[in-house]
Formats: sequence, C-alpha cells, structure tokens
Amino acid sequence: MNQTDPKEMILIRSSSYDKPMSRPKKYALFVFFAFIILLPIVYGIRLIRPVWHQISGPILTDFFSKTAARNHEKSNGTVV
Amino acid sequence: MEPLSEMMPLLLAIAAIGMIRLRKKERLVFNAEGIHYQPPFFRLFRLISPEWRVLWTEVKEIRIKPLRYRNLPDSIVLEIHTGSQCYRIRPFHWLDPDHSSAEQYRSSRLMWVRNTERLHALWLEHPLIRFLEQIDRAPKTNDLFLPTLFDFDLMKNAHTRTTILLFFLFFSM
Repeated sequence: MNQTDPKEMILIRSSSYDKPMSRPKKYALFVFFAFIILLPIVYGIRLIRPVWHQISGPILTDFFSKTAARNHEKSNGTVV
Repeated sequence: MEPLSEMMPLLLAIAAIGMIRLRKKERLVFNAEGIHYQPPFFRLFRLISPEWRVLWTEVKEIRIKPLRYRNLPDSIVLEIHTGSQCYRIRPFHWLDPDHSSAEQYRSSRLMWVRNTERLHALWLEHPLIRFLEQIDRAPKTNDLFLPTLFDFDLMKNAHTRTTILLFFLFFSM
C-alpha cells in the first residue's frame, strides 16, 4: 500500500441520495401533492354532509347488529 | 380489528416505506485502514445484509468481475478478494455525497451506456475508483474492454433494431 493516507470517504446508496432541488420547485411539488391529498377529502365531505342524516342510521344499525350477532355466535361456541 | 389478509396491503406499504427510509442509513466507508460496510438494518435483520469489514492488509486482489453486459454500468461488480472471502461491491450503486455533482448523480443513475469509451470515462471519474488509485489498489481497467457474452449494442444493426421495435410494438398491444 502506498504511504499517502487519503481522506476517509463515506459512500451512500445512490438511490437514497436526495437530489438537490430548487426552492420554488420544491414548494410547487408540495402544493401539488397537498392538493391531491386534500381534494378528495374536501369533496368527499361536501358530498356526504347533506345526506349523512339519511345514511347514518342504516349504516350504524347494520354495523352494530352484525357485531351483536357475531358476539352471540361466539358465546354459543359456534365456529367463527 | 380486521383480519390480517385485509390489512396485508397496508402492512406491505408500511414495510416498503420503512425499507426506503432505512436505506438512507446504509454506508460504505473507505479509509486508510480498510473498507467497512454498514448495513441499514438493525440487529434482527442483519442476516439480510450482514456487516463486514476488511483491512487493506488482508486484501490480496481487487478485480472487476468479467462483464456480462457492458452497456449496463449498474451490473459492474468489483470483487475484493482476501484469502478466505470475496466481498462484492457494485460501484455505480454508490455515491459520494460530499463531492456529488450533477454529472456524478446522473452517472450513478445511468441505466444504459452507448459505447465502451463512455463507460471507461465514467469508471475513471468515479470517486471509489479514484480512491483506489490513490492507494495503488485500483483494478485493471482493461477488464472493461474484454469481450462479453452479450454485447448489447443492438441498435447499431438496422435489422436487429427493427426486430426489437416490432417485438415491443406487438407485445405492447
């Protein structure tokens, strides 16, 4: 080995390297993805809100009746 | 609580995100003493990629594994032979963040190299190879020019090019 001591070199996976990105591009991407996540939530709420009082009753009743039936089956020792 | 089969996509997504995040902790350290590979996983998963450390005094030979595809830089493997073990590194999977430039970043992500001269240029400017040259341990670069089993310069021949394009055309439809 040569006597010259080179500086320590630490390599990382190229796939884990974050490419430096300009600030406006970064913010633009953030806003874009924020919109993609938020839009379905907002419009989903807007869609459900006027009819929630109509569908909440059947949904909740159905759910609780099913869980009650399942619990009853368990207590009887039937196969679950 | 939903059954496990219904939660499987969610669990897989969590595992994938975790793997991607863990990958940032992976390190390959070259210094005056030797080479040290630090795997990204904690102790339980060390079996997947075990930690290893080689001293320069142990290293007998470093050479390029005979190439199968010359046009794919990612496939180049560097073999570090000690008496009993052989450690393999893919140089183009690794990057030096301290001296990273746009060119180096691009070269590390290159999937395809047109000619051998370009590959040789990439090879010589790679930080790992430059480090090995500093300590007189660089492998013989002639191995890059040896004939390979599959020479993938397929786009050179017009007939072959047409065949490939037709193949992809038919199988895409």
